[in-house]
Amino acid sequence: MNPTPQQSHLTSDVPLAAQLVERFADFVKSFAIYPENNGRVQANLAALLEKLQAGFGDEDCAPKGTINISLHPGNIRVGRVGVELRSGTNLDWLRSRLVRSLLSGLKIDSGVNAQSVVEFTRQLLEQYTRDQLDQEFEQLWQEAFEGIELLHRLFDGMFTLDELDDNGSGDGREGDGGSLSLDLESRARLVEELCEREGIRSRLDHLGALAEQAGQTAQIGDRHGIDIIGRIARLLPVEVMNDPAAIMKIIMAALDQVTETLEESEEGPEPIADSDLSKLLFAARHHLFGREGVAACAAAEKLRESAERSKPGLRPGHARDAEIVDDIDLFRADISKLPPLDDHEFERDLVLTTEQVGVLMHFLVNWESKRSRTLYGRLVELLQEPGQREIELIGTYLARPVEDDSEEAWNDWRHRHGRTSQFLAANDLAWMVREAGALDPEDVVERFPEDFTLFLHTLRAGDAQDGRTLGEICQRVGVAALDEACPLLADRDSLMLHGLPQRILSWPLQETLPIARTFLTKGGPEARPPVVAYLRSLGLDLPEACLLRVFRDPMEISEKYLVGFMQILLTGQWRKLSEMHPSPPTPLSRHISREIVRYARDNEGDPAAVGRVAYAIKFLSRFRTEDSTTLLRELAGNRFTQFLSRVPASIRDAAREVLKVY
Amino acid sequence: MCQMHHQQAGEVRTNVGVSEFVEELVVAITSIRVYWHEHPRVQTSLETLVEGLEELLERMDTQQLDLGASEGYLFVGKRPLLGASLAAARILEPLDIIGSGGISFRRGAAISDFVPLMQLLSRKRLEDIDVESANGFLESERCTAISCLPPFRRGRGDSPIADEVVDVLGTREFQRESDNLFALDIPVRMYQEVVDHMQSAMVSVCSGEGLDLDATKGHVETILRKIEDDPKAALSMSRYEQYDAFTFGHSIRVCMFALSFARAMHLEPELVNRIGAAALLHDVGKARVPFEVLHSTGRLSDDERREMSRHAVHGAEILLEMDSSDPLAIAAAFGHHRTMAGGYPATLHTPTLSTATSIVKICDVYEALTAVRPYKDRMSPMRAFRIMMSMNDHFDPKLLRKFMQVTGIYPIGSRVRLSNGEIARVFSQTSIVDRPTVDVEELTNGEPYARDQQRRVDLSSDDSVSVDELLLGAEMS
Repeated sequence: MNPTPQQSHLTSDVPLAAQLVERFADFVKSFAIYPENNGRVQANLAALLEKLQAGFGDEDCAPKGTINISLHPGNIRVGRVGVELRSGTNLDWLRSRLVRSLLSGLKIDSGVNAQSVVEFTRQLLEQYTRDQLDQEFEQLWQEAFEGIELLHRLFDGMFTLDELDDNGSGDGREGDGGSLSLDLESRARLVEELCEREGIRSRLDHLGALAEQAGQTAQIGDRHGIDIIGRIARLLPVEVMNDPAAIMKIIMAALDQVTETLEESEEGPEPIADSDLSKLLFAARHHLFGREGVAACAAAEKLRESAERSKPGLRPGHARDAEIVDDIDLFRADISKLPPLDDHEFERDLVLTTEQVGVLMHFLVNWESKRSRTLYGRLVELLQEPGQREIELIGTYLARPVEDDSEEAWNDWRHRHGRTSQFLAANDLAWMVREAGALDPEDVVERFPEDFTLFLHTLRAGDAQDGRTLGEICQRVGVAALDEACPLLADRDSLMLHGLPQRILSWPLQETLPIARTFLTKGGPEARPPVVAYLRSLGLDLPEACLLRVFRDPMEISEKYLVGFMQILLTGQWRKLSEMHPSPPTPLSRHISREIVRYARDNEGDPAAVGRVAYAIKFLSRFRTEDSTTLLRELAGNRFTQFLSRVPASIRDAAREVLKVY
Repeated sequence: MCQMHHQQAGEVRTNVGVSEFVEELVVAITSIRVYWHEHPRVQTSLETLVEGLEELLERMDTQQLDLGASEGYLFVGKRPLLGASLAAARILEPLDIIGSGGISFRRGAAISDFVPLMQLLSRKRLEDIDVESANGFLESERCTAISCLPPFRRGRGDSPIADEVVDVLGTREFQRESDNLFALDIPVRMYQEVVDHMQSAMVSVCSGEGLDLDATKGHVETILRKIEDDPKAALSMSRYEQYDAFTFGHSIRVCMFALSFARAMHLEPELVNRIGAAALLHDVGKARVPFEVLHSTGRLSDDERREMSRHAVHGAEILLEMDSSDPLAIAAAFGHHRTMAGGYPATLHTPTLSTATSIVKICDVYEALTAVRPYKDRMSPMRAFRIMMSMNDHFDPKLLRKFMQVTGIYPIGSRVRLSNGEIARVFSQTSIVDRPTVDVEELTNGEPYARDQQRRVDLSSDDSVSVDELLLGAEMS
């Protein structure tokens, strides 16, 4: 898959709408692989912005002044123009990202700029790797992006709500070939029959009970549920009649959501707005109208044409029947050629783990991820003590295409590799990736930053060889590239899984500083202890490093200080500091000195902290800054005298020694 | 040379027609539980019933067909429909609850008459309904050509049920008639319950609900106990060859074979149960295959073939969606069509078949080859075995050999003619595949021996007599 603009964009025959959306896909794809300031990404971004500007002035792209990009079955529409979605292309890849973030499209106006595009894209890509799939739209998209309005992917079945008239017959969506819904009478009968189905009846009864609890009658609750069923029936196309399981699922899911809402409120059932019903149905829609559902409906529609049962006719029982005769002697001879079975021979393979792992892996990569949750637990259990065969099998799902170099083959690989590695990493099984030979250190360097996060997950805590390998890879990649890529490696949840910071930072490798910084900035307070421990372990002979020893509790060190400290290390400024001498007094980083002052003041009256405070003072005394001077004067004054009066004599003397400098 | 004895035509012809009619009734009741009565599938079934009834009445030269129901059997012309009764729990049970002695179908019955009947028989709650109110319901729905019969009472003479037959059925001692299946002593109730369970499973799957796996395990245990206590009767079920519309019979037979095979391999009882359950559910994915494909009798198109093949994936999905399902059953549902070289469903990895899956696979193929289908002749066990031996890479040769030894070319419970003309029933297999242990039951002229004259002969140690012919009669007509 090539994230650069494809050649087809450059021909003038291609409509602007197609060029625009393909530029969009190219940009997002490149951003997924390279950091923001990478040349390729910047070039794609510039190309996208150029097309957007052109689009604002184009009547087809922006008939009302804004550019609407929306998803439709089989195509992406830009304004009035539909751009075909072909499987395996960047556009298809983009579509999957939008869908997973609950977006049906975007509305872009002339206020859009590079920053808003980058921020939107960053969030889009981060969300794709998230594990939680049951978040609401509002939870996912909390920020606003200038010039970009997000369109929620509401339930729309085979046609949108506003295309239905009161009789319930719709013309279907423009360009989709249309699909009629059930007529009034059929719909009424369907609703009546559905209400008698056990799973639905029990839910309607429950709604009635909730209504009664809220002081209404049971009939009101019942009618509320029936109203919802009726409105869903209005949205269903006739093809769905061949998939009763899907109808049941959708209705039960809708009723469950309504029930859940009512249980949390004290109010009784209230009329539900169309838009809310749509949102409610969206959660269940993919069972019916996901790719499989639509295909299933289409297949059933085709087969429905031959609903007549024809009379059976005889035909031979088997292709080889004619040539096989009933001869007992031949039969005995055939049997004797077969090897006999020792009764215990098959005990080992009776219930084969490899077979089961294979089946579950097949579904892991081929099922929609929500359904996959049901098999995660089983697969984890089977892989607790995997044998060589299971590891090899896992390797099969991670292996790159060898003979087939097509875009489709590579996309397929990315998909299954992503699913498999995500599963393994999430369940502390990433080590299998290397065991299976699917992740060679050379590959990690060559394809950096791809696979780097996965590689980190494969490392075993305390393993010296793993530590060496990590160090070598970071060296070869280089600090600059590592520093650039680390912030984009993965989201917080993935980085903090299974004690990854503790593992990676257990080796005192300066090369891993960018990784440590990423842990800290993304992992928050949880990451601070292992980061501090790591920094301490580096054994840096630096003034700033001394501070790490002053604070025994890593949570006492502010994140800001640590980030700043690591920044100094990364940018090389530490060299300058190490060459400095205490006198003449040299300016100390302001924020560092403030940190020390804050610490000293906060712990002033604490006998347990006296030693550390003294140490801090000693440290501070090496540098003369405005803050340190002020503090030391205070300490030298009355406050310090009061302080000293409470400490043991040895401490007192030590402190006075220090203050002699001043 | 072993020969097969084919069923006689003529006398059984009418009852064969009625059996098909009853089978279609079962199909219609099952379909209406899954779909809605206006669904094309249901409508097709109802149209078939209307036409089938018309044809039957024409052939029988009568205006009315009375289908009796008593003691777990359906009756026509005072004769029990043994075969049709096995899959007719959904007809028998509601009639029993409302106290009806059967159903009367009159000439001119239309779809509009059958619909209320279907609705009545598929109701969940029938306890407060009796024959009178049932007929009242039918009349209120303008059903004029179908009604429920009054309860069967001995001595009344106006019932389609013969008193003496019911007496015999009630004591479970069957009076034998030529070529008819009383002598098979099939555990009818057990079979009906299992079929009913499979029907319910299909309806559940089609409705998007879960399977009752505990009930499945319970039925498997019951079958296994029957095999242990009375192998002849139990394995008779495996020879009930009647084709049923939803292939439940196939799954039950595969289960029987698998249990028998697994036992013979001296596997742990728990594992035997698991294999049995896996065999019973191996085709559960067919519930998601379009009906028209599943029951197509002509050559399948490429699309239809692909659709049919997908049942293996569907089956594994159905089981996987349930937390309590057995991974063994999932693997068996998924892989029972695969071979050592691959096959469907295609996976990225090279398939590995466990012994458990291989057992289900062998039993599945064997049953498919030897069972009756509307589109093919029946096949003798020996011929089926020879075909299976010729299918390279499909089966583990050691397992296949063991299966043949366990199953034999003369299945347990089947009737055979010996070389001396006597008729015997196979009691058990021996180490020589064509020389089982048999119970000699009848004289050369077909007269049965008295009980104290019947004898058991181990043909593997008695050279004087051998099996001449496997008798595959009209056992379930």
